[in-house]
Amino acid sequence: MRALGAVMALSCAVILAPSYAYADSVGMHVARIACGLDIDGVDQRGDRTDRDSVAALNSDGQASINEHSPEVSDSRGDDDGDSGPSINAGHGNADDATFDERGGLENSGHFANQGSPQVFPDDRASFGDQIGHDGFGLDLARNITSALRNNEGNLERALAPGGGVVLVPQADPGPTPNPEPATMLLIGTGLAGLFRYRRQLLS
Amino acid sequence: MSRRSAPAVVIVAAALLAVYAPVIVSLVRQWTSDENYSHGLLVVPFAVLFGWRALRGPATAPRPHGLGLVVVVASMAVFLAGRFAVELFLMRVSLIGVLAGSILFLWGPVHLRRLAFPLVLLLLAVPLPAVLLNQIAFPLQLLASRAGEAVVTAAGIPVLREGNVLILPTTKLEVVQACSGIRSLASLLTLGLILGKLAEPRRWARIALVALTIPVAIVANAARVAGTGLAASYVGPQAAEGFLHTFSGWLMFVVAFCALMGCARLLARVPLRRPLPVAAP
Repeated sequence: MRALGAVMALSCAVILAPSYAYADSVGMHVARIACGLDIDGVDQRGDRTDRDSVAALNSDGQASINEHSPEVSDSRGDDDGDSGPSINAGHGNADDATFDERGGLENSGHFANQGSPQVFPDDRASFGDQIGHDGFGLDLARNITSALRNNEGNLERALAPGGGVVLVPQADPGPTPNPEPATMLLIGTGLAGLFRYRRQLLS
Repeated sequence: MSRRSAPAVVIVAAALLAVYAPVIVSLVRQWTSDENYSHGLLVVPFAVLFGWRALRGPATAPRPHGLGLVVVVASMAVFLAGRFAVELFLMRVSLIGVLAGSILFLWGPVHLRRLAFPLVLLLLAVPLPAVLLNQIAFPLQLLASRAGEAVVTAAGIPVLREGNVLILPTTKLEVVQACSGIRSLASLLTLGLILGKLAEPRRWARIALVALTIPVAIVANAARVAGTGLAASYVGPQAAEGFLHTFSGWLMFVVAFCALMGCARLLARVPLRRPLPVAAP
């Protein structure tokens, strides 16, 4: 019985360390990237030019794009109002999202599986601004290319994820996983309980 | 166990180590890295302890049984099959088969029966193959999600369930495999076995106690998921993550364990089939 007690005491000591280490790791899986693309088809005055005026993202059909939220960030800091609101697309393989016309992006994105969401800079976008896209899983990053399309619809200056795409890992704001504590903590607790009430149990 | 059997024990132990060293190393590695099975590190010392206690009882003359050799050979065949198929579970389980066969071959059925309990404990420390684990965990995940949805709805909080994701106004909760309740199920099952062994002399009551761990663990996990949903709604998303969440999960297990102890007490009240003679007043 004394040996049983010793093992239980040891187990209680062992369970404390992993339980605290575990507490830090909950809910911290990285699953968010942002890829940026210069809108260099917009001239200095903010007028749209004929070339390179469409920013496109191509997912090569590997997965749907959930919660895609393109937005124009005001990289020049000139406060021209184009760090506009973004609208998250919902779940599913054929999502649509529309953007505030005065938010820097003019048109809607169509995020079908195998599709290419396209966003058009509006008259508030200016040279040097960037379109950022986030909400992709890291695994999807491999299948995404950012590109500029010219006005004939041809892909120009395709940017592979390795080149020109900025990966910004963040804590996942999506579903919070809801794990149970490790089994060692659970069984250790139970064994400690059994040891505490050993007299009643053995009688 | 007599002194004469010592050389046999040494030879069997050395042979086991020679064959199973990589298997044991991989087991320990998984116990230290996989939180579904970290209890292996606790269960093995207990199995050894129970084995030692079982052998300390009244000495019984060894009665070697030839069937033990058949069990050893069959287990080695399973080991080879696992080796060629690169299937960890078969290789690991075959170790327990070889142990049981060796005990039967060297000392006989009486000793094997005495050591059956520690062998079963060891079996519980062997990680299940992923295919099987998913088969058990996935229905449990959906069950916990549904129960969580029902409770949160009953509390008047709008919730949308998409498969195993609960979408609440404040946050989204995902009932992943680690939330399925399989950890508390495995833990309660092991504890139910130990509790039955220590406190319950009747076999049917032991079986009932172990069987009761399944509904207790499922209900406890459903309550845990529902509680997390409620906490996330009332307190905020931070209640569903980090230390607070681990702590509440642990507290729920303590409640489940107390429920199991309560079941053991109730079972103990069921009278023996042949009641002890009571002195007449």
